[in-house]
Amino acid sequence: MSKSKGSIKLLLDAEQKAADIVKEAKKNRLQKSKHARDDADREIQKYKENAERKYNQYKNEQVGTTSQGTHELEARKQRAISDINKNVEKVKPEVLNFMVNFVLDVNTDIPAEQKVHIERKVLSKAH
Amino acid sequence: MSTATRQPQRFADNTQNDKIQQMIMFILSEAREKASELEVQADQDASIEKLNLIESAKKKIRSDYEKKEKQVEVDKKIAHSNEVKDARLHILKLKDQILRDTLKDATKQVRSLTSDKQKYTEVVKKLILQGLIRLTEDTVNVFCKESDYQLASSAAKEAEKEYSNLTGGLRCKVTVVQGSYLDKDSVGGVVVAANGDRIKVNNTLDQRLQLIFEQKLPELRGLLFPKDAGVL
Repeated sequence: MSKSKGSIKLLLDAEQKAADIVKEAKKNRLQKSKHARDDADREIQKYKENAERKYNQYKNEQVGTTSQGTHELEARKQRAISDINKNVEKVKPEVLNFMVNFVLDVNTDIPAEQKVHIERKVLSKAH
Repeated sequence: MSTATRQPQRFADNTQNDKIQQMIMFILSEAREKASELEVQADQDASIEKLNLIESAKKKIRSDYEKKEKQVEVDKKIAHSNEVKDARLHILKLKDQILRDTLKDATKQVRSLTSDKQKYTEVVKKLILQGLIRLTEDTVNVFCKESDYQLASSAAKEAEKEYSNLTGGLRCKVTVVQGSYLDKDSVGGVVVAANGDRIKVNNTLDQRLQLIFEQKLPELRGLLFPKDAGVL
């Protein structure tokens, strides 16, 4: 009787041990999964840092070409302004002459349509 | 007897022990097998999980950064077009300022020319005469600057004469109005009015300057700003 009791205990112990082995494996499984996620996170982080670096490099290049474009535009603008001012300086006397003459040269010719009207009026006064 | 009877008992014990050992071995080896299956599966799952996580994250990062780079390009284009717009506006303002300065300078020149009394009287005469021709009335009022009153009065006399000559006998009585004058800051010239001052010919020099500035603006622009100058 005590013998078979001993046997049962052995078997139960073995079952317990077996259960522990499986339990350990299951625990390992969770740990592996966590480990995999950590690994992935590290790799993703690295990838992201690389992308960020490349992006910043690209952005700096773009800023560089932008400021180059700004310089070119500014140069064109200054050239345009200087062209305008130079030409204005050149033609201003002529333009002022044109304006002053237009203001002071008063046309006192009688317009054609007014002529008929005036002739009629002269005639009616004469009668 | 006792040994005889114990012998099979021990035998039986041993057999039973062996059986139990076998069972234990079996239980444990099954557990180990199961554990090793679980482990292989876990390794597989983990590496698939890792791969999937990395792939989807990379995909998202790639598309995020593509968007960011595109945005940089768009921002750049917007900034550039704003700069071009600002530059154009700057030039437009410059041209506008030049035009206004030109009108100011022309006004100054005309004003300085009015100090030549002889020439200015001739101009005022013509301004009055032009008014008379336009109105063809028998009486008109002439408004001038207070400082021009004397000068306008003699110009009016001349204008009356020339009007008569030009029209072949029409007469017009021209009165230079005293007491109601043009603004003292006015450049000069006259307003010729008839029919109880209801009809007016504004022949002030200010008005004529404004008129040329408006009517001849295309020509002024053409002279001051030729097509090849001031292009960005």
